[in-house]
Amino acid sequence: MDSDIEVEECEEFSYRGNAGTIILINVYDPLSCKFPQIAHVATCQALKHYLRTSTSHNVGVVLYGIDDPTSNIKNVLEVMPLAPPNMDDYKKLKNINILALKQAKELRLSDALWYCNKMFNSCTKTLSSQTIILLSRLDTPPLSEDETPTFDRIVELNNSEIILKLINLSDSEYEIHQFYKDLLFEVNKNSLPKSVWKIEDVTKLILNECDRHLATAQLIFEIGNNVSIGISIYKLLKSNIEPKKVYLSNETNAVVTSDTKTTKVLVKPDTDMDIDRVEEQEMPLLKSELLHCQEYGNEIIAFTDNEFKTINNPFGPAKLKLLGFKPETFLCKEKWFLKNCSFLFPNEKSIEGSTTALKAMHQACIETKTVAICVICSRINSKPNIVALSPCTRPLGLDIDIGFDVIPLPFSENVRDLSSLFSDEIADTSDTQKDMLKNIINNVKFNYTPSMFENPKLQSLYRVIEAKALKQDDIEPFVDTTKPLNKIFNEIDGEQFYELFGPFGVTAVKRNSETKPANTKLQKTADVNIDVLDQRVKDRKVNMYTVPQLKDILKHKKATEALTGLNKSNLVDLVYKYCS
Amino acid sequence: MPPKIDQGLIIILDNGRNVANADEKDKKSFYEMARECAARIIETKILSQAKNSYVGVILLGSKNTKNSVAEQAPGEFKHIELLSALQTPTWQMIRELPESPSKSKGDWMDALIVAADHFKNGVYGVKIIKTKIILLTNFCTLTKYDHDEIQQVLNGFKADNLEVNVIGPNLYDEGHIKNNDFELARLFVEETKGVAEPFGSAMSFLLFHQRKSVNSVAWNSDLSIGPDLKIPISSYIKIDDKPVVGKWTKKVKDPVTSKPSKEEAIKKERIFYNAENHSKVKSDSRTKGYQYGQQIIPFTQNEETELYASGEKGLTVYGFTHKENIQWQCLTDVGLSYIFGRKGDVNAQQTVKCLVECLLELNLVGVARRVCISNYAPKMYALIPNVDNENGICLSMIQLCYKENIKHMVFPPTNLKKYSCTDAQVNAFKELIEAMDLTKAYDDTYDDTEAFPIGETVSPTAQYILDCIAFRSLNPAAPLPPPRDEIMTLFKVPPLVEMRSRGALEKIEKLFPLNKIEPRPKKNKQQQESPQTLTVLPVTKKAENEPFEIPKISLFMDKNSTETTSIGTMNPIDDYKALTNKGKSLSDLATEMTESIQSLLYYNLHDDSKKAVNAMKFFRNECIKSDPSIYNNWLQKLKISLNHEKNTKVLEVINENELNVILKSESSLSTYENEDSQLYENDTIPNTLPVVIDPEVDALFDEM
Repeated sequence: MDSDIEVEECEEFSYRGNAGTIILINVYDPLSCKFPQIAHVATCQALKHYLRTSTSHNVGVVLYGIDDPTSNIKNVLEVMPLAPPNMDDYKKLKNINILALKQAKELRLSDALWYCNKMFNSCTKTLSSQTIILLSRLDTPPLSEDETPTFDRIVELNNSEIILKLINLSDSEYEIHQFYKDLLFEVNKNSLPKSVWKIEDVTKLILNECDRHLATAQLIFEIGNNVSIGISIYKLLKSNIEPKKVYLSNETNAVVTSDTKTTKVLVKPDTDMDIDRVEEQEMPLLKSELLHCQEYGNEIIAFTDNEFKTINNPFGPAKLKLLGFKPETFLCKEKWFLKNCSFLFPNEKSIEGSTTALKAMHQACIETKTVAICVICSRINSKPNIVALSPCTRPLGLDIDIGFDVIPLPFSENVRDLSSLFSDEIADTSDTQKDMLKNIINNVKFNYTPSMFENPKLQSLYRVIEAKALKQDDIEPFVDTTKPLNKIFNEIDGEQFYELFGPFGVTAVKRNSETKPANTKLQKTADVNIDVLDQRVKDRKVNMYTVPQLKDILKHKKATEALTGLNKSNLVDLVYKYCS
Repeated sequence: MPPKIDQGLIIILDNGRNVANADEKDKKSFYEMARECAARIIETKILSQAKNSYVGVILLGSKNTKNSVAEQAPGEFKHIELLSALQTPTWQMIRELPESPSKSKGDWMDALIVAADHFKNGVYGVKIIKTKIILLTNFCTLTKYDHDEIQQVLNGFKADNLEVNVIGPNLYDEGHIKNNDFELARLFVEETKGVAEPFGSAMSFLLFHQRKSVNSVAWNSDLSIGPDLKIPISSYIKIDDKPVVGKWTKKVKDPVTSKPSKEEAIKKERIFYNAENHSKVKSDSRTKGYQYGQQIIPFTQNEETELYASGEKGLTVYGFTHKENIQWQCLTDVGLSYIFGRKGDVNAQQTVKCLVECLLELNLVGVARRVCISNYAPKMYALIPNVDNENGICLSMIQLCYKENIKHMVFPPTNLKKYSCTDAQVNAFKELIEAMDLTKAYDDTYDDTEAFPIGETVSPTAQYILDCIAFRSLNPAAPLPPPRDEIMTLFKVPPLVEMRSRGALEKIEKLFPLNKIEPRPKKNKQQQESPQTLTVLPVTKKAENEPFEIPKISLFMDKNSTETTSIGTMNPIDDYKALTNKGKSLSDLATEMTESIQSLLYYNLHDDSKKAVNAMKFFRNECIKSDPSIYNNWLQKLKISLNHEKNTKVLEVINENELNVILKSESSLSTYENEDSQLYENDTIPNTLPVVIDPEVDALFDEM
């Protein structure tokens, strides 16, 4: 039982402050396994991610097992202070030649842990979480005289709610030393970490929790009158992934902020408004004077600010309510995808026992192949939606055993009628055609994973920013993962395909929208006679021409103004200008 | 060619003596029901914003005679009044419908002829494609026309493609057929391919508002498989998430009429200023930059456009993958589109059909890179074969997420022993699932036994907003009603399901120990300052002990202990003076001073605020001397929190004692020209700062 309490304590997170992480890298590598290099490169990659996302996450980097005379503490070197990462620190870290560092004569861990604890303590910012990520191979224990102090430090860390995580760096499986096994047991009582060696995997582990574990809503899931469970709703996808845009003043290079000023001005109908006078008449606008309007049935229908708030959601507090169940076959992505789905996870903090109940429902839904249909109002101001709760495991490859996809279902207002577009005159397909196409399809089969495509525009933007920031001339190249590899299509016999399916090309009578108006234009402008034009200019009767005629006259006169978008009177004025 | 009007509808409402009575006592009269129905039809037409649809209203049995046929043949076509000519429907049409029946009687066949004439000769300048008449009468006034004449009229209607619909009496209820005219009406309905509905079913059809019909615009491109294969396709949006009601405009209320003012308008202006010195910056003298770590990297427009060339518009197949690989969670963006072979290209249509069939047989889906407009950022899409039971087959296109979209998050483990569940618990849920089967929510008397059918259920929010718009236009002065019961049922478990679920729910209640945890009080700083929590703070004790302690301090305490080290609430002004004498500056002491004043303001309010006022006055004067911004900034914050807490008492105290912001006239260093901004502060529309929000937080506030 006590083990669980600890886990729960680890779960504690706060909405205040930002996370703090210290990456602790072991450089003591007497057997030359080269894991410090891997740790270094992966840390640099992780920091790059932090820089790109301009995070306010506090990250520090500390090396231990090092013999550095400049360092205050023996065998420990602080490379980056615990702060939001900046470029200088990153450059400093990147330029460290890990191979050239002088290794300590023996390995001590207790000092390094003590130092990390001190870094957290002396951090002036509010930290929402404190994590030490230790990167090392776990076969060389510290000096035997250091073992007891290390365990003392671990207890201290536990007491200060600092989480210690170990990343096991190795290119092959090996026996983890008993010391680390004991240490891991002390830290989390969970299974031993698997060894990792690929840079991406190590980086992923370092970044494991870099996004804040914030629920979009914490709700009560009302199953029946007396049965409710506590749940939290999360978004597993970020909607905004662009780097933050900031505006700078051209003159001073200072950051430019803006605000929108809403004021009341007098409108005088039928008089040309003098801009300066309008400025004078600006008055503050009171909320009680504000009306929200819609035009329907030829009338303007107005609501006061308060009414406007109520009509947008009169349905009461945020909640999730079960309406019933439906077979999962009713839920087709290809028919009903409306928008990003969310993820539902039990929340023991509002109702104890929620995890067990949700687990039972999860299993029951899977076994009966059903989904729950619920009405959700995620926040007091959000609109009620009907959603399907579909049981899922490991969404997006994340390490989650149970949970539900919260799938928003479209209302009738969301669905457009496309039935007229289905054509029933399409001929049946022959087996030869099918065989040909199946052959093509099977040739280009691949295994999709959600993280396989990188946004190429964003990646190139990152790289250009980085080159500018780090004052590099070369932009780091990248592979555009969105483009298919052409060689996999080599097998396809294009000629045979077109023989079977082609030729393509619109065969029905196409309404040629381009030529028709051109013809009418010709007809209308054909009778523009220069003599008539001169006469009309003289008599001030140019407005007798049609708009296309006026445009043609102006084109003929080689008018320099842009003609599109002008109304007739403007065009008439221009004709007078060019013809007199 | 005249502009086209898709549909023209004339409602013939019987207003005669014959519809004045109710069939049964205490029920609505036929006229009341007919009027309600007519009003609802017009309302639906208005709210669906069908711009190219015309509506006209003809009263049958009106006391007036006003129609063009009667003008040509005086004495004929009496008691037929053209109330509203065919036009885009307006609220005025509904308001003009007479409240009660007249004392006259009219011939319904006359009304039909007047309507047909109005279609033919009454509208100019437009061409109506579909013409429709809705007749609301109980046929209790029999027509005077004989059989031949009627046949002639009917032939005319058929020739002109006029559709006649009858709402009100049940024309097909054999037991209740009252007269010969029912048969005639049935003949008209059948021959003109119209429908006849009793009130009940007609009103249930009009129960919810329809969305404005949107014609999807095709996105035409080629679907390429490899460099050689290109199939011309068209894609159309099938599902979207556009609000049913368009953009709201903001207007100023006229204080006299309470309607939008014609003399005043709202002006919105975006002002740019330097974040450091608050000087204004012109919008064109700004450069864009990106934040990288804690630094800002300037970026020019040229650099932006040269970033990445996505290439020509198109849909390029990346490959095909197993259907199971595409999970709900990796789908993103809003809505989906249907892909067909290009319209008019039979071969392309056949190829797409063949592709869909192959994918269905292999249980695969396509993944494709789409460039929507040449050189726009490419996006990845899943192309899922889709069988539409009624219509045929096509491909569905849904956007897939990029790697960068995926959050790095860790969830606590759930596979612990204490979270394990028993078979009995799982079975209880299985029982609940069976009991709450929504596919069997209604008994056989309903058309469909499924509750909440996907894509057919209406949105409660959209329906309520449209209800409110209709209500407001017809009842301008009345307060808005709460949502109708029909809307509220969308939140309720269907009664039959609810009944069935009781047993299973009881079982679950017994099997699962679910304990609600009372939320712990938040350790919020602001709450600590609020009066309730302050009562237990040491400040209270101090105040109580005040009379006894003062002499002690002044008489016996040694020098060290009387030395002031911080500003308390007991005597803030003296504390402040003492500390300044020790060499502390205003900026050093400002926080302590303001905290002390705040405590005094909140705590002492019920009896005496003199001390707080004095301390504030003193502090204000000190700030005038050196730095008004300290006072002004603090006061602003204080006022915001007071407003937030609706603490008007303290606000009044501040206003009464002239403790508002330090103006420029008092200190040249002040940035406040006048108090205008203060006067309206409680009520004015706040300036909206485009705060640079952390994308994570931003995502948090995304609409669910």
